[in-house]
Amino acid sequence: MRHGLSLALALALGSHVTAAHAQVEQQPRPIWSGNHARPVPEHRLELGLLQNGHYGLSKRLELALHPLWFFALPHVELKALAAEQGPLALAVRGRLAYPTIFLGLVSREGAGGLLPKSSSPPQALQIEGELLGSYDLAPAQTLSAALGVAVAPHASFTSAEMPLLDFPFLYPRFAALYTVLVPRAALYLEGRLWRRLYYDASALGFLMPKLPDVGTAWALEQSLALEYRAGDRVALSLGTRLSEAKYAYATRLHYLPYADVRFGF
Amino acid sequence: MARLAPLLGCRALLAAWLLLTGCDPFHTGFEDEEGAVYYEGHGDKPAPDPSQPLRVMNYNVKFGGGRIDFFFDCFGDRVLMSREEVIENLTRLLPVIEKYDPDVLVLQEVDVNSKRGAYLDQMQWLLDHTQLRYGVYASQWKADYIPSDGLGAMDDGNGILSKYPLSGAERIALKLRSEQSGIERYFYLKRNVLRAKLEVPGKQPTYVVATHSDAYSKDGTKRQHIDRFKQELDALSADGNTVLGVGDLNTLPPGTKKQFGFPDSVCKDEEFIADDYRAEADWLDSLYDDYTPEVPLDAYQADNESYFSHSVDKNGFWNRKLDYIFTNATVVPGSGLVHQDKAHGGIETMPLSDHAPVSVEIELP
Repeated sequence: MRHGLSLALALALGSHVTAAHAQVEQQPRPIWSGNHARPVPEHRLELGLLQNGHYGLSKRLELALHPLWFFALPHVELKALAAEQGPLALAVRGRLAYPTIFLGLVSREGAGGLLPKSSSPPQALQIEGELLGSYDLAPAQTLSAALGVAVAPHASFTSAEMPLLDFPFLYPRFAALYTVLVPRAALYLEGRLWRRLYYDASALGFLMPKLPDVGTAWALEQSLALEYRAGDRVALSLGTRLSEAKYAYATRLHYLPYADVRFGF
Repeated sequence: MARLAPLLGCRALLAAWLLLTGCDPFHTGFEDEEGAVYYEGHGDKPAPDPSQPLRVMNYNVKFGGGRIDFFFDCFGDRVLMSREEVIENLTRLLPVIEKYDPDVLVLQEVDVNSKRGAYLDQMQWLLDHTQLRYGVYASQWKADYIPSDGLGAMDDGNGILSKYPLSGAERIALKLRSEQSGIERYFYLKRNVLRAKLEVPGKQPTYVVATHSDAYSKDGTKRQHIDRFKQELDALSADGNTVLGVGDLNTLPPGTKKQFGFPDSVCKDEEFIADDYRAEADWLDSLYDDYTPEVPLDAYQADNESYFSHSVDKNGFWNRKLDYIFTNATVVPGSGLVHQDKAHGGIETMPLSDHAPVSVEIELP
C-alpha cells in the first residue's frame, strides 16, 4: 500500500476543494511548468538544478531539456497543447534522446561504473511519446493522467556487450533499449496547499516486457514534493521519490529524497 | 579474493545518495548476529553412515568463475559471466566433489544472487547436483547495486553443505576494515563467521564454524577475523562440543618458507596487493596449538609445496596455503589432503578455481 501513500496524502490535502470542482471554470494558465497538459507561457524560461529547463515556444508549445545533463545525455522534450475546453486540457508530449554517450560514461572502472568498462553501448535513439490530460479540480488544483510508450531503435548488441542497466530509477528509463517497447501510465496531482506553498504528487508505472535475466518486469514510482514559490521567479522544492521494481534478484524498494531550486524568467 | 575497485570520481555523488537516503539504501548491512539462510537439495540422496569417519572438504569456489580472467585479479577485465559460463564452471567442480564424496562441504565465495554470476543460486545448484542435501548460507558481500566497475547486484558469501541436517545456523558479523572511507566500507565486503550445528546421529554435539578472513587489510582486521574465528571455536569447545573450524584464512601456516614476492601477484594498486605475509608469521600459532589441523604442521613444514592451495595465475601452480580445516576431534592419520592435481587427489584442480579444495577425515566422538 506504500505506493498510494503519497498520492493519498496529497488527495487528502486537496480534499477541501472537491465540493467546488464541478463548477470550475477555465483557469488562468499556470505559470510554472509541471506534469500537466498546459505549456508554460510563451517566451517564459525556467531553469532548474535537477529538473529540466522549460521554454514556452508559443502559447501551445513547450520545449524542455536540461542544459547540463544534455551534454551527457542529449535529449529534447516537446509538449504540445492539443485541446483545451474549460477545466480540461489535452496535450501530447514527446521526448527524443541519444543514450549512447551516457551509457559510455557509466561503463567504467571504479565508482560510477554502472556497467563494466568493457561494455560497448550501441548507437541508439530513445523515443518517448505520451498523451497527457489534465482536469482542474478547483482553482490551482489540477489532476493529470498520462499514457505513454518508449521505444529505442538501436544497433544490435549482446548482453555481454551491454548488460542490463538496472540501477534504481534509471532501470525503467533505459529499459526500452533491452525490449521492444515500454508502456507507462501516470497520475499527477498538483496544486496550491497554502499561500505560496504548493504540492506535487505523482504515481508512475512502467511495464518492461522480456528483459534479459528478468523476464517481464515492472516498476512503480511515486513522488511527493512540497514547493515554495516566491512569485513566478524562484521556487524551492523538497521531496522524495520512491521506486519499487522487479529486478532479476528480487523486488526492491528504493527511495531518494531530493531538494531542488528552479528559476523563472 | 573479491575486490571493490577504488572509489574515485563519483565519491561525492554516492556519498550524497547515502546521506539523502538514510542508513542503508542499497541494503548492504547486517546485524551483529543473525540467522543464516537454510537450503535443502532436491532429488534422491543416499543416507550417510555415521559409523564412518566424517569426510570434510573445504573449497573456495571463486563464485563459479573458474579461471576466467577477472578485473580484480589484474589478469583481465571481465566483470560479469553468462549463465552458461557459470553452470559450465560449476559442472566442472562436480567431479572433484563426487570423487571425494564429502559429508560436509564448506564453501567460500559462493554466489547466490549476483549479477556477475547471472543470478544463479550456486548453493541450491550444488545441493541439487551433489549427494549433499542440507545447506546454510551467510552473505559476506550483499548489495542491491554496487555502483562500481559494473558489478551491480551482489550476494556472495560462505556456505556449509552437508549430508547431515544442519540447525541453529548463525551469521556472526566480523569487524569491518577501518582504513577505508565510509562510502567504500558501505559497499565493501562484510565478512562473517558462519556457525551451524551438525546433526550426526549417535555423536556428541558437533558444530561447523566457517569463515573467510579479510585479504587486503593493513589495519589488523585480518588478525581480528582469525582471532574471532578461534574465539568461536574455543567457546564451543569449552562447552564440550566437537568443533570443525573451516575456512580460507588468507594467511600462511607457521614455518612457511616463502612468505612474500609471489609471482602471480600482478596488481599494481597497493590496496589490492596481498602477497607479503611476513608480519603474519605467528597469526595461526594458537589455532595450531589448540586444534588439530587437516595436515600436521611438521608434515607441512617439511614439504610446503604439497599443501599449497592458492594461486591467482591460471598458468602457474599452487604457490601458498590459505585454506584450512581444524578440529578438536581426532583426525584420521594421513587423511589430510590438498587436492592439487592428479598426483594429489586425482583431479587437476588448477583450471577450476583460484583455490584448491582441502579435505580430511575426522572421527567424531
